[in-house]
Amino acid sequence: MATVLVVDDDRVVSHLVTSLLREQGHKVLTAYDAVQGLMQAKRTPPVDAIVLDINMPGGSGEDTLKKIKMSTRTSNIPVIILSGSIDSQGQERVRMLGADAVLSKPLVPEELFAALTKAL
Amino acid sequence: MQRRYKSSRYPMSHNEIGECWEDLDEAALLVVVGGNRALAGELAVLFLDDIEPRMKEINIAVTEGDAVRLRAGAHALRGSAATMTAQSVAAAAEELETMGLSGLLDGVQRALEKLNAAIAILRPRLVALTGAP
Repeated sequence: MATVLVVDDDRVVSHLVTSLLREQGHKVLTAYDAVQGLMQAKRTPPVDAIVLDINMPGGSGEDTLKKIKMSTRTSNIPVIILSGSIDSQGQERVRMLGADAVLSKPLVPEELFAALTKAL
Repeated sequence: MQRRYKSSRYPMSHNEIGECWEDLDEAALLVVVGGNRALAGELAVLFLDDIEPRMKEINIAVTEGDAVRLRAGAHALRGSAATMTAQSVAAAAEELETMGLSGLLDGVQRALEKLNAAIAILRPRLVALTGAP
């Protein structure tokens, strides 16, 4: 079972993702903004995967993704992007930045589990 | 661009209002929570807790004609509502978000009234979901 960091400012989405992953036996850490998320991502021992909301106030998920992928401490951590509104260009952009998967909201649990399994 | 909550991912069931968006698609919500009704109730509690601050933010943005603030506030509400499969609230919030994004706030009061109406219909259904008396 993996340790997963969930970064989302939306408490409803964060609780949903956290609960679903815990039911699957994963250990879950949460952060509610980009700054907290980056701090948690650099923790030791490192998390096994990050689920990241792409659209958060005060620092976009894209910036956070860039910082995760640019840091030698976090660049190898798989990142699954959550988005309520991302077009195909946006999806391509975050994949180019290193995202392993892009999932749409509302979330489908099986899609989350499949993306995580593939990423780990 | 209007997102089609009605038909994109989940089937419709009942209780349509307004522009044929559903106020709460409980069958779809059960899919979202992996069949866990207790989790659906927990999400409803969080959503209800967050409604007032989110609406306060949107109301201030509308009063001040602040498009950027409106976009952000409406986007936040839309995301939560979409996760709850509260389609009419999500659609009304998206209309405000689109106005905020474009900076064109003509008709914003009417859109706000539509959102308030959708929330008024949704609220008791969410309260019922929480199991609260």
